[in-house]
Amino acid sequence: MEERNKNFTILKLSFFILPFFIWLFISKSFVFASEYVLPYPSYMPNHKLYKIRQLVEKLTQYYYFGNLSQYKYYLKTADKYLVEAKTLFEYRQYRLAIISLERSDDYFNKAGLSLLSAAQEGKKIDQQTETLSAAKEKHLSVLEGLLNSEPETMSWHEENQPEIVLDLKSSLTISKKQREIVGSLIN
Amino acid sequence: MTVYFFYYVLLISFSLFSYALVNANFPVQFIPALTRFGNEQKALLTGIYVIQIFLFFIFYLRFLSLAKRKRISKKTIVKVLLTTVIILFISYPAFSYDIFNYIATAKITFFYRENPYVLMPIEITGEPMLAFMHAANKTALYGPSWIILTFFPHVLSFNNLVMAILSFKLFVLFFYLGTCYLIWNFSKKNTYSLLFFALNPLVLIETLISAHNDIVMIFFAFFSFYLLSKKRFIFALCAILISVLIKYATIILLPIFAVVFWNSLRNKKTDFPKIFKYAFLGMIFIFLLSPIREEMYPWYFIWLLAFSALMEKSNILSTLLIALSLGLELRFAPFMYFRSWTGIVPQIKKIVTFAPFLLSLITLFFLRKWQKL
Repeated sequence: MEERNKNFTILKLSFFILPFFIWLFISKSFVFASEYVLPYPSYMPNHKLYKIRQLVEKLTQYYYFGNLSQYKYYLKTADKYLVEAKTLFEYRQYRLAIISLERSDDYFNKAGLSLLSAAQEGKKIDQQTETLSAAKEKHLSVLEGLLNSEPETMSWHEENQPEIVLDLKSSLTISKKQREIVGSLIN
Repeated sequence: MTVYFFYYVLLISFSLFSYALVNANFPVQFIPALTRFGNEQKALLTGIYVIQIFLFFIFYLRFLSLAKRKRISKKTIVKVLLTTVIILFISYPAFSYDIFNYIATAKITFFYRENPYVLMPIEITGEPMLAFMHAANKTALYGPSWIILTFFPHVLSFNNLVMAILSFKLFVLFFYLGTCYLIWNFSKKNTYSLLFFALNPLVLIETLISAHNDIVMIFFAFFSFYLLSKKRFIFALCAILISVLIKYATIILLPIFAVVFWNSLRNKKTDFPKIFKYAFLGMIFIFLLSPIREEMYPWYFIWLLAFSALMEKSNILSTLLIALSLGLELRFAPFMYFRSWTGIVPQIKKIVTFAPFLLSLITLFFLRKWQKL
């Protein structure tokens, strides 16, 4: 009798599962299209989490082992710092903007170098070259926009420090040049 | 003896049948005439598949009945299991592309020396496997312990695709045998428990033909409990962590593992059938969650079947588990006929999956009512 009741409980429980099956019938899947775009700006300098962001960035560098993986990491980080620089320029934080821009340059160069060493190892880099070219064009258009909108030089005075003149035009031109060199190297 | 003979004939026939479904872009065409037949006679092929699946289940029920009546010897079981393993080892992994995913991920890690969680196979320009593999636009889908374990079959493959299929199948096969041994051990040499799992057609197809890594995850889960029973605490902890980090599904077993761990530390006796019952319930929960991620794949059912083999269960529960195993194995039939996963196929898949379960449920319900009258 006890066994019968136990069996009946299983049957009743099974009927409870039925709505789940019905839900399965009405569930749908979605397809997304994607394209290469620059990211949104993350935490900016002077934000209390900025240092943590940088630490995470440094640590994740080791996660991206392998030339092609490293290329992805460097390009992603170069994009991130370019967007950061652009935002800082827009907020007239020129000194910080130039630091971010230099970081972006450095990572962009490293992305190119990673691709070259992948090619030296015999890996085919056609797709990555295409992406890097697209990234180069995007970076150039951002830098071009900044060159047109920002002043050529800017006097910068920080608390308790002597005034300095920031050569914005030359910084932006160097960044552009570096993108072009990397672009020509990988093509 | 006749039943065994016809069972072996079915195994050979099913192994051969798998070669009818070799992908047209696959670089090696093993039996071209059979593959041509598979491409031209889709309706007939689907019919043959369905018949073979039903026959598999009929033999399975027969073996279970023999085991229940204790009319199958230990020697015969070993013979049946080994013959099954050998015959199905030579089959082509026709019903799932996951093995190619495993091979590709291992290749990215150990051949190209790239991070498989960062780089997708599709990003490796000129990789020959891209011509036929599926999900090439995804980074590694499995946990780090699986990636590390695949080093062994990868090395054995010598960067040859056919060798890779064989080495991955062999690798999975060992874990299947290991799991069978542990079930045998935990069930105190109960033939019914062993056969309930080991000869379930779903387990055979998804493990020995399709070489899914679920069996590896389950093996390490069982192994951790086995090590706990032997008071090898550190090794047990390692085993459960390996299991979790294969496919993450066994994460649900961690609280159960902790209880057994605690009991073993305090030299308290563990009621393993009860523990496996909770493990079974936990795996049901994870199995039912699987459609949220993707869909209810047949090989996920191995998680439940393995633990259900070791717990006390009523005939009704056994019947429902077997019915759902049958339904899940029928999911491939609509694809075989339409050669597409879209259109009407998803709906048919759902119908064939749950039809045997619902039919069994209704039949059992009315039988119960009828018995009451």
